[in-house]
Amino acid sequence: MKLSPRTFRALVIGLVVVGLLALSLGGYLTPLTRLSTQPVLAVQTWLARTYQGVRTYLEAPKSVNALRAENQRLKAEVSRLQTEVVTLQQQLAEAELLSALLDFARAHPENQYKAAQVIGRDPSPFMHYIIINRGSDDGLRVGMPVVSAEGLVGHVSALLPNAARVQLITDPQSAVDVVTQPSHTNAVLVGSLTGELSLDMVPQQAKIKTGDLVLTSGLGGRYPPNILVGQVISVRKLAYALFQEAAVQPVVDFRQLQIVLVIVNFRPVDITPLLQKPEGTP
Amino acid sequence: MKAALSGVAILALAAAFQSAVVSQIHLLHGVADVVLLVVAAWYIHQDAPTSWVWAVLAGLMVGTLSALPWWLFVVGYSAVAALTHFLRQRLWRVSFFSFFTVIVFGTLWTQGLAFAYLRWVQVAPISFRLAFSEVILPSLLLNLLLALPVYSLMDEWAAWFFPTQEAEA
Repeated sequence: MKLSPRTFRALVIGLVVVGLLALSLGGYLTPLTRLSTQPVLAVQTWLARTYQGVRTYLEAPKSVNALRAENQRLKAEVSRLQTEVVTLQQQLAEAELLSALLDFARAHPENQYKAAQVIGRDPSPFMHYIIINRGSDDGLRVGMPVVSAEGLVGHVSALLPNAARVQLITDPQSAVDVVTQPSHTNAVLVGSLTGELSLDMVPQQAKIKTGDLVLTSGLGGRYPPNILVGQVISVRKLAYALFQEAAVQPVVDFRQLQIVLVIVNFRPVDITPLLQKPEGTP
Repeated sequence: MKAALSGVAILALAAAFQSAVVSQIHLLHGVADVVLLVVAAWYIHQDAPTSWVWAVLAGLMVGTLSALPWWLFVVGYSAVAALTHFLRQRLWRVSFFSFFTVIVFGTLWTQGLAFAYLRWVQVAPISFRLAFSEVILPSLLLNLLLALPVYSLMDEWAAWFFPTQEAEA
C-alpha cells in the first residue's frame, strides 16, 4: 500500500496534534504554555488597567457629585434621626414623670387631680413662685394645694383664665402646718429667702429628731393632711429658747419642677375672720 | 406705628423670656433682669423714642407675672428710664460705660425696692445682709454679664427702626 504525499502529510499532522494533545493533557506542556501566555497576559493586564484608569478619570466628576449628593442625603438622615432620638428621650422622660404622678394619684385616691405644666417662674428672685398652664377655665381656684410625684409643692395664689401662679412652700412668706413622724409633733414649716425650709413653733419638750418625716397635718385648713413634705436633717435645741428649731430637707426638687398636680376637690378653709381682733380690743 | 408694635413685641418677648428662661438661671439666689436691661438699652439709644409709656408698659408686663405688686416694677423701670434720660441730656454722647452705670444703679434700685416692700410692708423675715449677699449682688453681676449682648441686640433693633440721618443719607 502506497500512501500519497498528501495523505502522508495529513497523517503526520494528525499524529503531531494527537501527540500535543496527549502531552497537554498529561501536563507536560504547562511550562511551555505559561511561558507563551505570560507576555500576552502582561500586555492584557496593562491594557485593562489603562482602560480602567481612563474610564475612572472620565467618570470622576460625575462620581464626586453623586458622592456629595449621597453625603448630603445621609447627613440629613442623621440629623433627622438625631432629632427623633432627642424627641423620644424627651417623651420617655415625660412618660416616666407622668408615671410617677400617676403612682402618686393612685396612692391618694381620695383626691381629684388636674395636671399642669410649669411654664415660668416669678421674675423677682425674692419671690418663690411658679406659673402653671392651667387656670380658672380648668376649674382651678385660689388656695388649691399643688403637689408633685414626690410631695407638697405649694398652693394656687392667683388665677388667670388659662394660667395660675403657685406659691411654693419655700417662699419666705409661706407657712404650712405640719406634723413629724414618728414623733407626732405639730409644727409650722416656714420658707426662707434661700429656699431652705425650717420647722418653727416646736415645743421644747417635743422629741423631734434627725430623720423624722414631715407631713402636712391638715390644721389650718389650707392643705389636706398626710402629704409628704420632707425630712428633718438637723435639730437645734437651746436651753433658754421657747421653741426648738429644725432644718428640713424637702422631698421636692423645686428647681427641676416640670409637671405638677393641682388637687381640685380640696377647698381650703379661710380662717382669717377667726384671727381678726374684735372691735374695741387694743 | 411699626416701631411701636415692634417695641411692644420686644417687651412682651423679654418678659416671657425672663419668666420662662432667665428666672431659672441662678447665681447663688440672684437672677438677671432682662426686662430692666432692655428698658435701659432702649432709653440709652440716641435715636429711640423715650416716651415714659415704654417703662410703664414693661413694668405692667413683669408685674402681671410676678407676685410682687405691679406698681413696684412700674416705679422701678420708670426710675431707670428717668436716670437714662437724665444722662442723655447731660452727656454729649452716651457710651457703653453710661449703660453700665444705669445697670448698676437700676439693679440696686429695683432689687432694693422689692426688698424694702417685702421687709417693711409684708413684714417678711428677710435679713438685709442675706438679701444683699445672696440676691442683690449676684443679680447685679448677672445683669452686668448680660448687658453687652442685650445692648448689642437693642442697638441693632434701634438702627433698624430708627436709622440716623447720616445713615439715611
